[in-house]
Amino acid sequence: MKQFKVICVLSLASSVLLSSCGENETPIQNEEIPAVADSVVADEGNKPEEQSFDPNLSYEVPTPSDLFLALQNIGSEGNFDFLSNPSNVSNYGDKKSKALNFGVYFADLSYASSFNYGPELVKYIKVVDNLSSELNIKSALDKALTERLQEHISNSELDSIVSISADTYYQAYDYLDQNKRGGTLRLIVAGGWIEGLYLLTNMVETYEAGSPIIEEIASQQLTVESVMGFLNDFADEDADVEEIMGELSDIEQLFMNLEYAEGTTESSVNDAGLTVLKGGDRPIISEEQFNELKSLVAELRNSITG
Amino acid sequence: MIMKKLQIIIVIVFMYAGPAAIAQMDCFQFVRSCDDGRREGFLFNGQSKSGQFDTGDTTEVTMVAYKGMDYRITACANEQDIPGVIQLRIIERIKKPYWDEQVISESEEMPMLDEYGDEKFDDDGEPMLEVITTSKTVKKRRYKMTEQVRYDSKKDGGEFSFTSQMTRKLHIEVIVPGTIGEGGLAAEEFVSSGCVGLLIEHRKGILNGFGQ
Repeated sequence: MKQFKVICVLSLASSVLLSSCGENETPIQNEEIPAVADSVVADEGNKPEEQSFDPNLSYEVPTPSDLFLALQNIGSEGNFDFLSNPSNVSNYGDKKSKALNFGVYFADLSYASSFNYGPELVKYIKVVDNLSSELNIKSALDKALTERLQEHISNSELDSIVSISADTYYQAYDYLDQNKRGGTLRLIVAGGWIEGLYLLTNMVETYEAGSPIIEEIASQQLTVESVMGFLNDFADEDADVEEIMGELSDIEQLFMNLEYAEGTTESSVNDAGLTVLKGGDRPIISEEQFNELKSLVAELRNSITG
Repeated sequence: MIMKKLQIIIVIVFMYAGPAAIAQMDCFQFVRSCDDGRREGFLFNGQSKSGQFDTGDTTEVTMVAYKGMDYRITACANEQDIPGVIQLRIIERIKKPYWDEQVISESEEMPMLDEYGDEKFDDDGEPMLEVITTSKTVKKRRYKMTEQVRYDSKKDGGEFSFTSQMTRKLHIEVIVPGTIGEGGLAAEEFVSSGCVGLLIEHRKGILNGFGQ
């Protein structure tokens, strides 16, 4: 009896502490789901159906450095003209703009380190450090990180810089997650995702169907659902999160209207013993959709950075 | 009297043992204790997760795997609290879009017209009417979901290392072992809680072939 009661109290306390853990229902096979925004040809009175998120699913958003590392790996080159100006940091006064721009600058830092921006990197380290103090997350970050980053910059050790900056992002993420500051965390993730997409779309000078970078832009359709699912967890509790979801809705809708190139899914094992995942349906973005996306993303990003 | 003593003991046990036990259950960065693939050049990926689970729990996490990157996915648990092996299932859900077309017919009474386009009247001077039926097509974009299991640790072995030829989203099912009682439910008396880590690591892959 005693044991049971103690277990009950502990279970209750731990479920409050770790609300992200949960049971899952049996996966649904061949479920027919409505599109986020239905494309209606003839019936103007037809309203788009609502997107629903699975409350049992943990939506994880890849970090900006994951994207840039993958881009670097496919041979893309960075364009530093579009990074946010570090001197704008003093313009961000409220929690929302600080958190969003923390995400923006972190994405810039990841981009600058992935594509070797050289000594300019220090400015982004300083600005991230600055905003982490203002958002009260500096205590969570390893104090030696900024020193280590600066040391690696002096020695031009790019892989280490990328790895340390990714670690710093993860520390900030985990700290906010554990300390029930989910609203701030979500704004940071949204800012980082928007900046990543902004930099990605500005790496394309001329649209070329089927080019690796255009394929990667279309593939961001896979992350937009995760971003919205992740934000949705806190939309009821934080008006700033709800607002940014609204601001992202046009971009989400555009991604959800992409066509797919069908492919048969296959797997094989390569010489290194790794499973190679092949095939599957691939989203395709047309030139018109790309131009619209680029413009929507630039508009939203510039409204964040001011 | 005995009941009252028992209640006091419970309160005392919770006051002293409770917070300590909760602290032990704090799974903050537990995933860092999983065996990593650093020797093979893998680096920690921010999509990794730590959390507390009961034996018999199942949860699902999404991840995005980028084109040309290598990934390694493993899980670990606090063995004292969660005996057995964590099962991982990696599933790819594919949304297949299609147009759902519906034809809607509408009927309306309209004045009858003669060959010159003027309204026709009957013998009483009343305008003559006819029923005109028009139909329109409502085209809706819908998606059909299909799924494919890419890996099941129960069948395929302990860890999953893979490379992807295109960027894709994967769903990872983490199944914590549990004692199954009558009716398929976990036997309550054997349920315990512990930390589980889902470790996702990445490294740059080698791209080969056309169009890479």
